[in-house]
Amino acid sequence: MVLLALVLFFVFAFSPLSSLQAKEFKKPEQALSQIYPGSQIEVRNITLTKEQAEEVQRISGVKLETRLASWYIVKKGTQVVAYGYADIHRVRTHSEVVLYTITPDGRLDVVEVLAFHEPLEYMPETQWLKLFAGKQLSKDPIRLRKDIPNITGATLTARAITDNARKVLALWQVLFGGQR
Amino acid sequence: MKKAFLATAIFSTVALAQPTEDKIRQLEEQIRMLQQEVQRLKEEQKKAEETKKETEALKEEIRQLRLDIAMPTLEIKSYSGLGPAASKVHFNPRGVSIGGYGELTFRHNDVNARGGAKSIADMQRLILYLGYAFDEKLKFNSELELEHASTSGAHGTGGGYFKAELAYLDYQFRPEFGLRGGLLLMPVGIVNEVHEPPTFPSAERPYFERRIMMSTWEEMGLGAYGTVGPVDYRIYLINGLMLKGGGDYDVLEPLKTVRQRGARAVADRFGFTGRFDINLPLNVKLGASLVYADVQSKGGSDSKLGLRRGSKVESLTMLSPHLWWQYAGWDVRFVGAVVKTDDALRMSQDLFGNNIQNPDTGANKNNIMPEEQRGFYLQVAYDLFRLFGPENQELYVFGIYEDFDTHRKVPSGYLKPDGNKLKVYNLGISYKPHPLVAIKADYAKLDYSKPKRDEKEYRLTLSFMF
Repeated sequence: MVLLALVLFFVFAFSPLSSLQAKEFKKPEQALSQIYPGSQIEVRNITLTKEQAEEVQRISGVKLETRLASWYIVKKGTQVVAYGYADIHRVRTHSEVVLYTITPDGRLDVVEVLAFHEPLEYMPETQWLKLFAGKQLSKDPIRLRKDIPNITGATLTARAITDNARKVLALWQVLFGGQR
Repeated sequence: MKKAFLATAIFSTVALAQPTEDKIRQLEEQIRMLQQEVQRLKEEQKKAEETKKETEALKEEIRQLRLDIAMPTLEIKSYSGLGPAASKVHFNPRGVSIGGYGELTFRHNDVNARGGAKSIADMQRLILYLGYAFDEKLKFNSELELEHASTSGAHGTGGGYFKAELAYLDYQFRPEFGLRGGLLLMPVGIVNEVHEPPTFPSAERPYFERRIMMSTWEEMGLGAYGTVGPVDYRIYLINGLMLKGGGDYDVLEPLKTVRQRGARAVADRFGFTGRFDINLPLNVKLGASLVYADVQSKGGSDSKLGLRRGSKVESLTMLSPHLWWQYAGWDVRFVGAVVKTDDALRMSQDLFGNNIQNPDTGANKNNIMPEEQRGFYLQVAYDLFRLFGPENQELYVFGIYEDFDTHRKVPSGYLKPDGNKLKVYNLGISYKPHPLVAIKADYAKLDYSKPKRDEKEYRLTLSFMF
């Protein structure tokens, strides 16, 4: 019995970390590996031309703060299963990091908040983030209070995540849209 | 004829051979130039490839830097019940962590602030946290404290002491289970563990936390901690407590004299302490803490019963529920406690000897230990800058009500000391120009049970942590 207790103790103590550690910041590669198990992540840092940057701003209506776009290409074997983009933007006075993943046919798949520095009561619920799944630039407005409902008491968060979803989709369209 | 033909042929050959050689020379020259051009192009291509690699490396550096800034691995937040500054080392993956805090207070008491003076300006605490992360799981953490500016009795009305308030090794196997051992903060109440002054609004710690929960209270111990689902827990085996004697007794906080605080603590007897907090929605923490420990005699001349040092005098039990709600600018706290001793008379006899209270004459009325203490405090604070004012600053207005009895029960036949019951009405503000700095001003009315005179206090505190 004591031996069993000892074995259980060590299994418990040394087994892989559970989801409780999700309270810590997850790097984009970690988050993508959890979203797409068994995939390989390839980082591609792309410098947009001036024309490409203007095109992204025109399509999304969102100002592009940088011309350096770091994309995470999620592959299973040689096949691309998703594109990931960790967008860093300001909410009110502090920044947040939001991971957007896009399917190879240009639809938003998963939206996950990786880091949030505003007070936690402004943090969006997972259920709200799931509303973005399937949205695409050509068919959906992706605008707050149109196809995306507001979060009462956290409008700035909701607006930041929604607007930047359009920006990320526009980035994807300009950089990868023609390669489908 | 033949000679003439031969001479013509030789001449023709010579004449024709001259331009062919030139052509060959030209071609050779062109080939040489082409080779040089190819070589130059190769070198340029190599340089371009090197430049591209360098550019890619720089882009990758920028990507990582952006993430490091937006998602820092080192954070100021609470770890396993510790205050934010004390938690630093636990969020540092490797190497040295330095933190600290300070609490500088002006206090005016209309009866007596210290030794008859009504106002005292005191550098209450100056603290250095020093920690070292051997790796991401194995940490050392310490809190070194200088109280009242000096250790010299010759300074002002007397300095305080320099001591370690925390010193432990900690190994976190996983979030659900870690082990730590050394000089540990007792996990009771709210302020004893989270005691950096900017984390609470009042100019000084609540009286209840100081007089009943014995803050700051630390003992040598070993135990486990972790978070399982929504529940944080800590459970420690600790050295037993000890009646210190030597005049270290204050009737307003009578049980504080049993703390050993890691100073060659007598450990012939043991105790344990534990705590749980349930993390509910809207950032509500609901929990309770427990202490059960034997109280030992100090022996020698400090034992009026002539007991050997380390022999058991009695045992102490503290049970304390708490609630802590920090949300949308609110900071609401409730801490209650029942503290029981199983043989307060024996404890009083060992501590006071012949100077124990005489219930017939009323002599030495204060010299009696409690069989039971009971009480609570309730704090409600709200950040007014949520409604108006600068975005990055906080202005808390708060009210604290405290109601406790240091001698709810005394040994049968004995009298309760004067002022055993205390009600505190505490109102004030805490202005935080920065999350780590608080300037606090408050008013506290202390209503003692009669015949002890009530007191009014006005306090101003400058505090910081980092």
